[in-house]
Amino acid sequence: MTEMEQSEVYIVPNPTGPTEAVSIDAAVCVGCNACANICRTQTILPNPEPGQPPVVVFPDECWYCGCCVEACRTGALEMHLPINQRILFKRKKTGEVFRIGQADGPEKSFFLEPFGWR
Amino acid sequence: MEYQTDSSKRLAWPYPVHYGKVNEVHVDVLVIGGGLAGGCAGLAAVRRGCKVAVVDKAPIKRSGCGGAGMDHWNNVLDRADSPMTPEENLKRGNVRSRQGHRDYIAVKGTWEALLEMEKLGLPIRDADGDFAGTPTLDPETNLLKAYDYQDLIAVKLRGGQYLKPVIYEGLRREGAELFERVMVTSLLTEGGKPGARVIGATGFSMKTGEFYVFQAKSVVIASGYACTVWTYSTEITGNSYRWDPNDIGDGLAMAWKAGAQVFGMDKAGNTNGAHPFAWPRFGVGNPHNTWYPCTIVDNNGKAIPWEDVNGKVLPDSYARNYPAQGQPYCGSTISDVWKGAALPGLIHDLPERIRAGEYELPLWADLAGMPEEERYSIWGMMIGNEGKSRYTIYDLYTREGFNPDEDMLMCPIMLPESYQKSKGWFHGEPDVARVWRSESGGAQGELAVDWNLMTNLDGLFVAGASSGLEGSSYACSSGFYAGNRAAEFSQEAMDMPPCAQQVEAELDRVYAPIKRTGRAEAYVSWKELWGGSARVMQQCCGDFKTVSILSHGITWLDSIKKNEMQRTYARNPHELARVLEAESRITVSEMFLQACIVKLEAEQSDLPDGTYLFNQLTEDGLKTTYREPEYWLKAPYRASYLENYRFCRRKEEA
Repeated sequence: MTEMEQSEVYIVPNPTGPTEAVSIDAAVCVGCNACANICRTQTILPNPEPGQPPVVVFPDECWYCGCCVEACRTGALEMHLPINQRILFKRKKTGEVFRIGQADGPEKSFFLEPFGWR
Repeated sequence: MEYQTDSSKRLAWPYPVHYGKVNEVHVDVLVIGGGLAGGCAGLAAVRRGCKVAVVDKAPIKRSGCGGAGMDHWNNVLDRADSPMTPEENLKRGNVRSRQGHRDYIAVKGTWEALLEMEKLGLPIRDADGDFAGTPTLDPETNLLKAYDYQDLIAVKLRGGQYLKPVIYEGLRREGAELFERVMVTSLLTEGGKPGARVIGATGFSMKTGEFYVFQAKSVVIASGYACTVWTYSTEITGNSYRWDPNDIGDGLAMAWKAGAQVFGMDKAGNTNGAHPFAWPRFGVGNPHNTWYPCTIVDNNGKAIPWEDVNGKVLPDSYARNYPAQGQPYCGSTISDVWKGAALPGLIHDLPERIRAGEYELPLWADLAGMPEEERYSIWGMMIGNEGKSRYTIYDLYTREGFNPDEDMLMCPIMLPESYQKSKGWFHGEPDVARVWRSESGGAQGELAVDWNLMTNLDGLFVAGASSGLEGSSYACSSGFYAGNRAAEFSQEAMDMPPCAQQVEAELDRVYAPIKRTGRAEAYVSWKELWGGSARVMQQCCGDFKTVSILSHGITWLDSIKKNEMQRTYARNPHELARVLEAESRITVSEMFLQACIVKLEAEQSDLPDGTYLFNQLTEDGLKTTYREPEYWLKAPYRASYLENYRFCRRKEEA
């Protein structure tokens, strides 16, 4: 193996618990802070720089209620379950077993708007 | 992510901070906690012409346990064609160890509260005819029946996702003042004395750090359960938690310090039900609650038979939604005091048959094998409206390729015996000794109330889980009731200025962690403080209790209070809230331990069996009051449930 170059190395604190409860796509985000403003635990805080995407500051405090995803009008947010919350499912006809979170899982083939949604 | 992985990304707090700046608010009714119960209490009071403030740590549109949505509305027994009246339900239910009057108040109002939700704009009926002609539809009301398809006992909330937003819009429309991201820290009492009338509260902003003094003629506490008293772990994620992480017992702790009586804290968190190492709520295969009555198959595709409460094996999936012979109805025994309502479930000897090799683990929830409308009722109605599952289960799983028409979802792998616990509501049972406790189902203690849902403190009312009334229908029903009683109290009460000394002392307490931050001795984070008190509870408040063990717990907590708690730092308003929550958890822990000691001592005395114990803090220390069973139907109260209920609502109807 060849030696790898590494410019700077820091001593930094470790995040606790889940590391990415929700992600914000900076290319789609308009910086309106609707997600930060609805979050029940201040997991997401506004960016101190106005107009910039909010910051996912406390992912270990997230309740995974998804209210931030609902509040986002541009669809910039995506929730991610922690590894210890990703269960298996089995295709009945073939017996294949997949896991929530696996990259080579089945293609999305179902969506029905939940009842009562307007 | 950059913020976490790049040390140069230290961010400024995004709001202007003014620690110690005092804001004064004068209202008739102050509601602490703006979830389902508090929101409805606020609505009721504002409609009675009161000036109302609703305060919440979170944004009220989506705050509280039911804030993200709800799939069920249970126990609508107060209807003309109900198979059992609320009175009969209480009589047949085991009200021992429960408070019959507050149960009755909640059950009596569920139907009225549901219709109120509809008036507020909640789409509860099958308006588009999606379920026309199916057994779940009640043709008379066009509502969707949950659990019991014979009678309308529980309702599938077709638009349950919007439950909280319609209450929030109602509060705004009617002119209630909303204080969001404000944490209430203490109650103010007349003359600053414990046990006196409650005349307001203090709080601070989790954005700006500013202080609030609320002056109110009456106060409603609707702050939910005291959760997470036994547990702190970084493995535990909020995803598997049923209760809003803001529900940590603030209300119990502040009411206790003000001298309010509490009840049931000797149950000290049961070990039955949800534990903190669970799977996503409603995100694993199981046959109960939101997933009722999903077919479960073993690893070879062999269906697990179902049986009713009489042990009769059921022929098909539809039969799971009808009462057994001799049962007037069936429903959720989690919310129903009458345990005779038990639903059918998987065969009782499933554990033995798994061990004998007849069924092979893991089990799978066979959505694909359910009749189409039942499949979409589970995956579309219930999972789609129960807020915690809307995005992280419904959206995320389908995005990952899960298809309810084709796929089966795995049930957690557990000890075979665990498949018969909690009526098959599978959470994933770790094979460890259960020091972890769920604090649900009334085992977290509650503020004791009279027929007005008022505590022993004049002007302090309670609604929802703070008074042991859990679930969307009970929360809303008790919220409306408490809000009306608080409004009536306020209409006859005098304004009372807060005691300056009491406010000053609270200012000192609240900002102490900010003032000490940066000093070398202030090395403790709120997480470590929380973990510290949780360990004391794991050690000293487990299943095996003795006065000696419990007393060591009190000594232990006292030491943490005097040492590490005085060294806990808070670097911004968010951390300050979390530190003060950790302090509240310690207070609640002490309440649990003391209640357990009182209970053990009562068991050794000659008190009659079934005596109700109420604890309160007085200027002379802990005081216990003893009441006889069904005290709520004896003097000074009236002799029947209905008479008391009607008497308390008499001004409302006028």
